[in-house]
Amino acid sequence: MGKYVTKRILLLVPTLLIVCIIVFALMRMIPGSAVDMIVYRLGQAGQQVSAADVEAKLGMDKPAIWQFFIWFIGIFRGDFGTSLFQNESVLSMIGRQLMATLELVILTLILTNVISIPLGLYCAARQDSISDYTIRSISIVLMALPVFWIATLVLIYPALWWQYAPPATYVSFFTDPIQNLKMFFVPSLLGALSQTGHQLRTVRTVTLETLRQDYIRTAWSKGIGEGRIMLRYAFRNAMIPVITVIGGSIPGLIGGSVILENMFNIPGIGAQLVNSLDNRDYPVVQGCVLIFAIIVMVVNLIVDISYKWIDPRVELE
Amino acid sequence: MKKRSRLITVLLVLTMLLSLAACGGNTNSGSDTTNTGDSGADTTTTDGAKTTDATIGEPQYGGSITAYYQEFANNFGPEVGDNRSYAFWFESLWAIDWGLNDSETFAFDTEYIAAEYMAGQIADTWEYDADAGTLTVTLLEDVTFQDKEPYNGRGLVAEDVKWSYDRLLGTGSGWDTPVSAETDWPSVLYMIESIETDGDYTVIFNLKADYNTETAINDLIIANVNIAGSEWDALTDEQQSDWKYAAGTGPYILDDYILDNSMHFVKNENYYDYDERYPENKLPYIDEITLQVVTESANRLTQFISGELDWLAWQSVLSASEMEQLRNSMSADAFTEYNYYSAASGIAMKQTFEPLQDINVRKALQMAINSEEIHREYMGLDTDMVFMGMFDVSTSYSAVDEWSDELYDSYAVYDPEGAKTLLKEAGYPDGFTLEVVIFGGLDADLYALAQTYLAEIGVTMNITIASSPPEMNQMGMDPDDPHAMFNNGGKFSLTRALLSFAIGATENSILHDDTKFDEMLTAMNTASTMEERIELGKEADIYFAEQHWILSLGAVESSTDFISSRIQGFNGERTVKNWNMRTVMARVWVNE
Amino acid sequence: MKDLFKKKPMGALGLILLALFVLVAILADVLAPYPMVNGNMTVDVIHKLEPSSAEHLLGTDSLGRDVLSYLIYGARTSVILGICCTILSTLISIVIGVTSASIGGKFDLIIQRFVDGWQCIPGMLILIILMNIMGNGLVQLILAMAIPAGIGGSRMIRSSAISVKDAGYVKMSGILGGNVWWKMLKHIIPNIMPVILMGLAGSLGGVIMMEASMNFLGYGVDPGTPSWGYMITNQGRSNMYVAPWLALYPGILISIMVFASAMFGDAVRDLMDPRLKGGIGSYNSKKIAKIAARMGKKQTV
Repeated sequence: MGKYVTKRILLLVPTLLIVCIIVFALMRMIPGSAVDMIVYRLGQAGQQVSAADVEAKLGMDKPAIWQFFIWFIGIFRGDFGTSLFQNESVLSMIGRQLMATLELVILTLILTNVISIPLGLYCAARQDSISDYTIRSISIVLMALPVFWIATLVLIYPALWWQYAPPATYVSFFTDPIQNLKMFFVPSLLGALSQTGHQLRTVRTVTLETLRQDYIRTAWSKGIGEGRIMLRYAFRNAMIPVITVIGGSIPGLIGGSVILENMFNIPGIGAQLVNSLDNRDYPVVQGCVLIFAIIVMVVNLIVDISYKWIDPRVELE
Repeated sequence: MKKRSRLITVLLVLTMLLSLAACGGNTNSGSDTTNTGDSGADTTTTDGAKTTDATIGEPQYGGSITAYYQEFANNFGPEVGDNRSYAFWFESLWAIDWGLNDSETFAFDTEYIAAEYMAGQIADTWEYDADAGTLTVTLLEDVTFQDKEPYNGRGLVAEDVKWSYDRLLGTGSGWDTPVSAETDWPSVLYMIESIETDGDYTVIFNLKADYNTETAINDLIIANVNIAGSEWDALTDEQQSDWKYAAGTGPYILDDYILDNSMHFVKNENYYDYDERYPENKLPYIDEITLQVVTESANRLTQFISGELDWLAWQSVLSASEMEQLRNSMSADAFTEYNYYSAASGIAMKQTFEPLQDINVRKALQMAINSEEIHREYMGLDTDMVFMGMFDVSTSYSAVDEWSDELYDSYAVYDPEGAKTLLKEAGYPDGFTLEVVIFGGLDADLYALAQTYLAEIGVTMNITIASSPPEMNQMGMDPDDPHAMFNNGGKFSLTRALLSFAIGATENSILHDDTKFDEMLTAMNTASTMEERIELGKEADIYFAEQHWILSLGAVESSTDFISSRIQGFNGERTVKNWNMRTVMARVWVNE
Repeated sequence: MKDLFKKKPMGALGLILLALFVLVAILADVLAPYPMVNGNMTVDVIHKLEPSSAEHLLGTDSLGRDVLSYLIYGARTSVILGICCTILSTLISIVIGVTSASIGGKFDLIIQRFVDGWQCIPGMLILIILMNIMGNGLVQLILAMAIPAGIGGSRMIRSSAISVKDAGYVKMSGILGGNVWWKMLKHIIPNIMPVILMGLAGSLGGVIMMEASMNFLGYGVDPGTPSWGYMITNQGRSNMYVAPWLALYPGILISIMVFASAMFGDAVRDLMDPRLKGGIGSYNSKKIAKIAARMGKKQTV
């Protein structure tokens, strides 16, 4: 097991390298006019710089490969660069907002799985029955409704009917958990609802595949009741691919957080990313994207390791 | 298996607990019982109030309010200008005279206020000596800094004032070049040669020979320069970006700050100033103020209705239907509305694009716009149409009385056939194509509408949406950029433009390739008396309008601020603007 | 196909809706009560924000445009978006997948690592960055959506290509002479065609949804092009109280389309996925009893 984990962690490095190359390359596709824009904006903010200064800061003056390595090595030292507009290092900006986004993502995850896993199992057990169709249809409807539209409705009508609004002031979870949860509950629920749509169907499909395995048929022929089959055999074995699905939902949740943070006033990385993009604060954008990618990679790592833990037969590809 | 079902049960219970926690206990400290639904007929809305006959009631101490704010920056230095009006912890030598309760006085739509409306804040008395070319200012002796780093409650002296101005101009106190800032202080304080102190409480401003005029003194007084002390220079860059070192002499102390979310202020117990209206009352009244960023307009509405937000102003943006909804959902006495006019939307025509260099072409484009329809149908206003360069009477600096009927008609009349003829005469019988860049946050529909009007006379308008106002300005300001026309923010204030052209102007902007106009602006700038400046301003105003450099899209818009009735002390005055915000905040109170 | 209608009625419904949608898009000019003139929709500001009436079946928007016509043209935009995206992304997938598989070796390894890395970056982020760089517009939107989808889909094409390669068809053709790459293509296409079609139908909903979300964040098509996403975000949200239908109708349409494409995709997958064939699948007594009855009570299970 230990060897597996070590191998897996080592594999992260080449993937990280590739991700960094991609992020870097994306940032280098900045059109030249954007540099002018940045010069102009910085001028407005009171920093008189020239285009050459900006290019130097963005690393566009040196050969790309050289600049890339400087940045890449810098990451391991914890130096993600400095924001063009704020007097702050990218890392400290992100660190501040990471808590908020992580909290949103984790809460959404918990809520999604609490709803989708039991229901998905149920639908698989009752394939093609009326409840199956109903639940599936509802989940597709949930998935189909645009998140920001529902969010607007959820913001407005409770205010009109009950004078209720989720608080707009951010308070850290450790400072005041109740107040914090009051702020995060509604957005997490919304994110969970739309994610449940996807996940429920996938859980169902995966469970269906599992149910067709031979050992299930064997269990049945031995006379084991349906309930036990589901919970003991099917669930446990379906969980492996389901964990993959959960892991795979993280990128989607992060994408969703961009919208939810904006609507519910959460000062997270998603909101920061959109702001920085508008401002053309590319170092910050670079840092945000990289952090998200790292989160995804870590989640994949955890998923892979838990695979191995659940089913020791799994081998490294 | 048992373990798993237990796990699921625990999670379900957790969810239920979470939902209880979230929904329960949201105490409503704001509005009274509200009218739900859209029975608009039942509620009467509060009139756009320039004067209300609401009695103020007696001031009370205590309470806390939450106000909407648009955007914060990580900059706490005293060089921040009016743009960072959240800097309640600072003060200037002078401030708006709150003792003038005349509502007309506070109806400023321009930044061009007169020194006669200012009273001393940190300054006690001041005297202009034309022969010596100086302004001598005597300071109050009991002004202290807030009890917070880096000043820790010490008393303010003349050296501090000198340091504050020197730093902005590079004229001493360790500063030989001006500090980098958003505001172009050397332009704003163009009249100062140097600053001296005489003892602990006297400051002398030496004026430049060219600017030894009344108008220059006026500009000096109205420039909001934050006063702080030289301890600021000793702080590291990191400390200067840390809210824990943001302090000054002001009525509120910044005691928490979450970037992109909120600022929290507490009352300065050692504040020195008293209420002009109730001279025994020491200011401020309110205990706590929270400035809250709310990114989504639907959320702003919700927050106000539910009482979480008390103050929805300062360029807040609620759409017309959101405002409707607000009026329908809250009882009329739960809030006050303040309507005021801001300038109309328009498209500035770059003179680098050939067809637009011909004034007849510009006139033709204006004739193709159906201003009446935009004003009455699209914006739903039933007031008289007012155009670019014309302002509400209350500002007293507009040339509205002096526009000839002909000039007015050239903006108001809708005549597509005449437009087509003009175009043909100008040499464009088949029209031409125009590129326009607008900022997406504005009313994109209005520009789509303009597109169809212009299409009628054969002019094809292609719209590009910039992602931010600076990007739009940059594309528009660039002579090499193909976009011939650009929209300048939808709030083009002529007088603001005149002011910026006058004080900070470079050579001919591509907006208007006209030396005569530049001369008029220079004359305005170097006028020696205020009356002369106003007259010259009006002339420039009319000339500007005659040149049709801006394609006016409909008439003046109105902006509306909403303030909860919990907050008292307005006495019917206008709502706050950037430059008077901290004065206002210190003088209002909460009436629970 | 028959199976679809018999066994999976919901999937069939999905297919019908999708087909209807495409039809409406093609016949937009004919169907719309207020067709476009010179590429612009007719505006009529005097009658803005009106609810349903005889002249305007679904009311008007904030510029007085007929909502029904706008939605019809919006369907066209969505269809163009969906089809172009899918075609372009499939092409990209094929190019990457086939080249990677046919060259094999180190090259293949590097490409695969690249695809891996790409998958680590959340799709939404890539989209907004690409749109930010390229600017707003229909073409840019298509490119921005197709490129990530193409790279992601290349995996599947590659495995298809590898199985073809292993199967030896190509080797044999190679012996007889000819371009390896081209031969692979010829054998792969028939294999993946059903997958592509499935992808097209299934992804249409996703594309529409993405476009609406992009509009929310400020990226998307330019204001002149009618699109459902644009209507919801720009007109629906600000006029929510006086004209809720502006957000409602496009929202419902988007939901229906996503629903249809999801149902159809589900049904096709249920029917065609070999891993889902065989066995009974579920073991509840009711179902067993039904099956037993069908088999004439001869067997149980």
